[in-house]
Amino acid sequence: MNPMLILFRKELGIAKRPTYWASCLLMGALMIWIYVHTPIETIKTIAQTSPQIADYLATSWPQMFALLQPLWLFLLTWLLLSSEVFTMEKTDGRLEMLLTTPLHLREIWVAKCLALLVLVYPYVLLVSCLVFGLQSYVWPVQLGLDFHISTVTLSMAVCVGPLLAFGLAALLGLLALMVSNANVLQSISFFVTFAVGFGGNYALSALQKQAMSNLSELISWPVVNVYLAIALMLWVLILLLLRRLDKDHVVRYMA
Amino acid sequence: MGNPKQPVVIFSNVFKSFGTVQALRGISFELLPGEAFAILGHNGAGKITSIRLILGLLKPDSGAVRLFGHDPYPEDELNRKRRQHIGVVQEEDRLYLQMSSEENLLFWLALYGVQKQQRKERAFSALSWVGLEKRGQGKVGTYSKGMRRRLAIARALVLEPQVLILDEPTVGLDPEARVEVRELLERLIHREGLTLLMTSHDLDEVEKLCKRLIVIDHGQMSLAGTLSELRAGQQPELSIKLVREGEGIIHESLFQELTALPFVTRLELNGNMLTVMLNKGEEEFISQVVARLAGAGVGIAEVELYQRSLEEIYLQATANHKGNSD
Repeated sequence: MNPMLILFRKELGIAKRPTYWASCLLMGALMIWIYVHTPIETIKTIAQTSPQIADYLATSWPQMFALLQPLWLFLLTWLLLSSEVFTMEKTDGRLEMLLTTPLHLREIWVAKCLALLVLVYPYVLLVSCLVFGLQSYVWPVQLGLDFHISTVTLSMAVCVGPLLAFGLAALLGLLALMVSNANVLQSISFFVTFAVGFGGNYALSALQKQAMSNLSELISWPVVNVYLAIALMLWVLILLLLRRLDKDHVVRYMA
Repeated sequence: MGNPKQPVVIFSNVFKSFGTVQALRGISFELLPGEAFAILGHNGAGKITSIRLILGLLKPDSGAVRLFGHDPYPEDELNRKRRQHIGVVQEEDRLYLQMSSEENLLFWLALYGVQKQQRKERAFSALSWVGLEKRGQGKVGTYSKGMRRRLAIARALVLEPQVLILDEPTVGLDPEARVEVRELLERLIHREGLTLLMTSHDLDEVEKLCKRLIVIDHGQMSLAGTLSELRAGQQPELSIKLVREGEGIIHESLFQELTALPFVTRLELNGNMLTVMLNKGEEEFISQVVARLAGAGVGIAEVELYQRSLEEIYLQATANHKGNSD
């Protein structure tokens, strides 16, 4: 069997760890609370005075989720797992040991990225489906509003958002191999992702309240195209960096 | 693999620098099949860089590194296959702590493309070699440092390599574990005929295990050769214990006569102990010194030719080298 496949299978073993399941459960519950449970009370209150605004909120809430959360969720889960898969592997010297095996450096990066994709993407997909599913099931009952989700919102949540996130995450994985201090990169990435996720969510909520008419269509095909264009640019950058990925450069920064 | 008489490793005038730091400056040596060879030097001398160059993890700035006659750096199919013949044990064990020792070995064997039906058998046999067969299912995270080191050696041995490269194999181990690992290595060298390259700060261990060595100091080679060659390169020191002590035991004229001998470089009398330093390689004149003393009526209780330990040779070499560089 190809050594890359062996490494890929070994990395999938992270799914057996309680920490993986605990992080997934915690973040999934957080998403359901913010995007399914919390809006019910808010929309109910607003619906008493202004049914039109309540209608608008019910439409825009899934869009808000799709615009930022799958991307955020993907990156945050990836970063939690990649601390062991990329950073600790490098700082503890196991990466150096792997480089003494028949594995090539690029194969190690590919195997690790694919393993994390297999662990993270289905989870993001599951959370998105749960959020949309619960919204479509609970909201009509609780709020008496029609719930419908557009194709563009759905494609953003389950496909384009995660694709962009995967580009970013793969780039971070590659940089973790290349930079001298992978721990610092890991910590900065984690805190930036955390802050952008929460801050972005807060900013979108604030915008939604202040300029609701302009934000009635948070997600449109041009927005999707921008996401796709950024993802494409990231992959071009990754390919360029991969050409420069050199064992000598990676190993010289190891302790 | 290759010609059995061809050197396994050739280092030829190798230079390697990291930014402004020159890690290796013109290092040359050869590792022959079946020999136990040591690279010595203080921390940061360039030992790990040398090992990384041999393993093809780093590329030399100039000079040539050859492993089994080929450049180990390129990531090609030839080198991919060649890596199966090298077992590596690093200073830190670099094991997967969440996995059992058996899983660690099975993973390693799978990476090297060993057939599934053979993996279990080879893993068990390697664990038996290092005395861990009864703890095969235990998580490595629960192992003591000595057990981890033995497992790291098992991981290197499980590949049935021709060359074993060890970086500080006994560092950080308690004396008991140190002896265990040393005995294991002795078995490997003497019974299995493995080619061994090791770095170590434990010079006693090197003296027991290795026949040939080099000393690297600040990236430069300050000493090279077999242990007997290195000892032969030292000035022979003769310790003569006299029967009596006190002033006048050796007459001034005899003292001067002995000092004037062409093969004697230094003469010292402390109590009843007479130390005679001879020129390099002139041990055969020991009998002449003893005969002259006896002829002058000096009672001799004991004569001993002092053999310098590797530690003394090493310290002298690094001190000389430091003096030269300064």
